[in-house]
Amino acid sequence: MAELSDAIVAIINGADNDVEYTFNGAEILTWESETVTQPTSEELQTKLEELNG
Amino acid sequence: MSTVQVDTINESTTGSGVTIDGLTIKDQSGTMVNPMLKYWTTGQLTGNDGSAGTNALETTSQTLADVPNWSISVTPSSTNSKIWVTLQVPIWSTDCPGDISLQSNHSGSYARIAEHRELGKDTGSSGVSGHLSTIISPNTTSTFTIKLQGASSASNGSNRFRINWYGWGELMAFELGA
Repeated sequence: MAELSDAIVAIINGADNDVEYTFNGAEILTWESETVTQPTSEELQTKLEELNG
Repeated sequence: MSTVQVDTINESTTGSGVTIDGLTIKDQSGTMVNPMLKYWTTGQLTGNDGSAGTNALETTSQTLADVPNWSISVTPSSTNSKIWVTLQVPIWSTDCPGDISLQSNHSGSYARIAEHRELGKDTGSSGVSGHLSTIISPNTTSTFTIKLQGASSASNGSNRFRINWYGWGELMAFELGA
C-alpha cells in the first residue's frame, strides 16, 4: 500500500538530484527545486490512487 | 494552618533520614544532592502512522529542519540549576540514514546540545530508536526553548529520512538543583 510519500517520489522520479523537500506525513512543508514544481494536494492524491490502483 | 520555621532538621535515628508526610528525605551519603525541581515534556507525540502530519518529519535535505511540535519551553528556577534533556524518537531510514539534533537557545541563538549523525546506517529501510540525552548549564532563569531537528544524510528527492514515523516519542527536560 503506497503512502503519500511514495506519491511524492513518483512525481519527482527522474529528477531526484533537482529536488529537496520536507514533509510531515500529510503536507509538504518545504520544497526546493528549480526544475520540478511542487505538487498540489490534489496531484498527490491522484498519484497515490494511481499507485494503489 | 501553621508553619514551622527552623534552620536545621536532624534525623533522630541514625541512618533513618527525616520523613515528611511519608516522604523520606535523605540519600546514602547523608546529603540530598541535585534534587529534581521541575520537569517539562512534550507529552507523547504520536508519529505519522497514528496522526498523519502532526508530529513527524520526512526530509530529503542535508540541512537541519525543525521536527513539528518537538519543542519545549524551559524556565529554570535558579541560574545554578542544571537541565537534563532527554528524548526518544522512532526513526525510519527509508532510503538512507540521517541526523537528529537537539538544539537550545539558552545562550541566545540556537546551538546544538546533543546530536546523532548517520542514524540508521547499515539498517536498510528499517526502523531504529533514536535517543539523545545531555545535561546543560543554561545559567539563566529566563525562558528558553529546546527543540529537535533532523536532516537526511544524502541530499536529493529519493533519499528520504523519517523522524517520529511508525511509533511515537517524547522530549523531556528535568531541572536539577545545584
